[in-house]
Amino acid sequence: MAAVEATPRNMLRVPSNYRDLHKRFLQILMNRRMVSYEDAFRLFCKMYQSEEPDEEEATAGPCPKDMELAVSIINKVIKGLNMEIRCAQDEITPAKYYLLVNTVDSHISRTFSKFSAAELEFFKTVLSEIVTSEDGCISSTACLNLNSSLPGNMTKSDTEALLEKFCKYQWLYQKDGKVHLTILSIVELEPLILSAYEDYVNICRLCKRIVMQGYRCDRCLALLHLHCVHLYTKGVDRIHSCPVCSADQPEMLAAVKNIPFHSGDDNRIPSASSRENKTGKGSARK
Amino acid sequence: MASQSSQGSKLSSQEQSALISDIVLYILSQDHTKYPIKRQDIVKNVLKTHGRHYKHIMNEAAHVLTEIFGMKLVEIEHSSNMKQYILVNNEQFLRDVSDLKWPEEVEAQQVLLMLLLSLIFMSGGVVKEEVMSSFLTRLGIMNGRKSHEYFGDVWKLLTVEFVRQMYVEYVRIPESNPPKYEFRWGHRAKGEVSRRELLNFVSLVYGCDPKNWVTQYQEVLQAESEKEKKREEDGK
Repeated sequence: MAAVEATPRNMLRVPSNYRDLHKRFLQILMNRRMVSYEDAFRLFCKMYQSEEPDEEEATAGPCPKDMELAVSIINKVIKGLNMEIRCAQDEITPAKYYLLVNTVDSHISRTFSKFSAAELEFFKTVLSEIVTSEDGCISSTACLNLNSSLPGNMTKSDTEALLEKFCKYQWLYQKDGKVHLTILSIVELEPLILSAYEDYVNICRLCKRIVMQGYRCDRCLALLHLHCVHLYTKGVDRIHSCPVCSADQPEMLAAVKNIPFHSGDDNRIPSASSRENKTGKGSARK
Repeated sequence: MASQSSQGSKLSSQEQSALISDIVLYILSQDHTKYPIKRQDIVKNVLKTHGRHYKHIMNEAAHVLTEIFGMKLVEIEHSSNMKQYILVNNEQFLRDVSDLKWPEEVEAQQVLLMLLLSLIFMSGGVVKEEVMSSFLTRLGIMNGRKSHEYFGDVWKLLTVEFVRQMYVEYVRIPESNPPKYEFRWGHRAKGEVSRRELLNFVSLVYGCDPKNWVTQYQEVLQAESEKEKKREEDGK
């Protein structure tokens, strides 16, 4: 076995507390790319408990904070490989997800992607349409027509199959005749979207991240994440005013009222690094 | 710079890290097929002009794959000096099959694989092709050469695909005329499949204690102690 070099940027430096549990969790994320917070926690508990099968540990059980700590340990380790586990909320549902993303657009991932160069071109076109659209999504039929602007002979059914393939690998999803970017795509492509679509992209003023779909103020037209608005409206005296321009927004509370946010827990996205201190009370598990 | 490489290599530590990272990503991306990865492909696609650093970089990459991902890069000596590798996962990680999600056709293959690996294991490590064939026919999985609705072209999977993926070996019985073939476990199965789980599964089907299968149980224990020894040696 090669000896481990002792340089600071050495990607081989694995902390002593990095063990099978972390490797397994990482493998699952590599396999699935996108795992809901609840599923992740369920799997984490299972792996945690299979580590120490004796009685004492079994009754204690891990809590979400243990998982978040494990994630931050993994992130320190995979940083040298330009990979990161991020936590983000789906814009519509708004379930929390763990996402495994590449932090750098490596030529390896591009060349040996599951998609051909032509297919990736098509995706770029779809991405472009979605980012520049009014509501952050495009109709499936419009999507199918996009192939005509591309070189090569893709029939309608080829395009349909390709769309399915993108959905299968969680780059896009289709719902009610519309095609959307998954949160995985939004997070992984964030740098690309910010640079290539600077004039079109919306940034949620509450969390400073890209927003494709959410609540729009009818005065200043600012677009905000529904989950960010939900958090914001928890401050009782602010429930009727736009966080950006303070315009009266009587509809705002109603817009987020019926959405199944996790009740009883801190909705803030846990930081992937150990930068912030989370209180994380209660379990996100349902 | 002098502290970076032990081989007097002229690569900066940054270049080294980049190459190691590229190789790791490449291997991981190719792994889903389960086919062996050729050394020449690695050099052609990743190392390119840095081919002479192959040995050192591969060592580091193997280290990364084990220490970070828990997978072992195993060298398969192929004919005519053509090196190949397979990425063998840790058997412990694969115990709960529902953790990892696979496309439907892959899941079907995994079921089929378990059946045939079980048969081979319970039969003492070797199974003649006629025995395998009649076993699968009895289970309703094979019907001549007809394609199965769920499993697909079963015989082709057994004799071509699974062999290529190194789950099984399909070898000619020496001196057999007309040529006859037999099945054995392949390298990948030896590394990834838990004999204990297989024995438990078979015992469940037959409704008896795994220990009743004395020979097989001995093999389970032996395989486990070998793996334990190997793990300790690798300094896990």
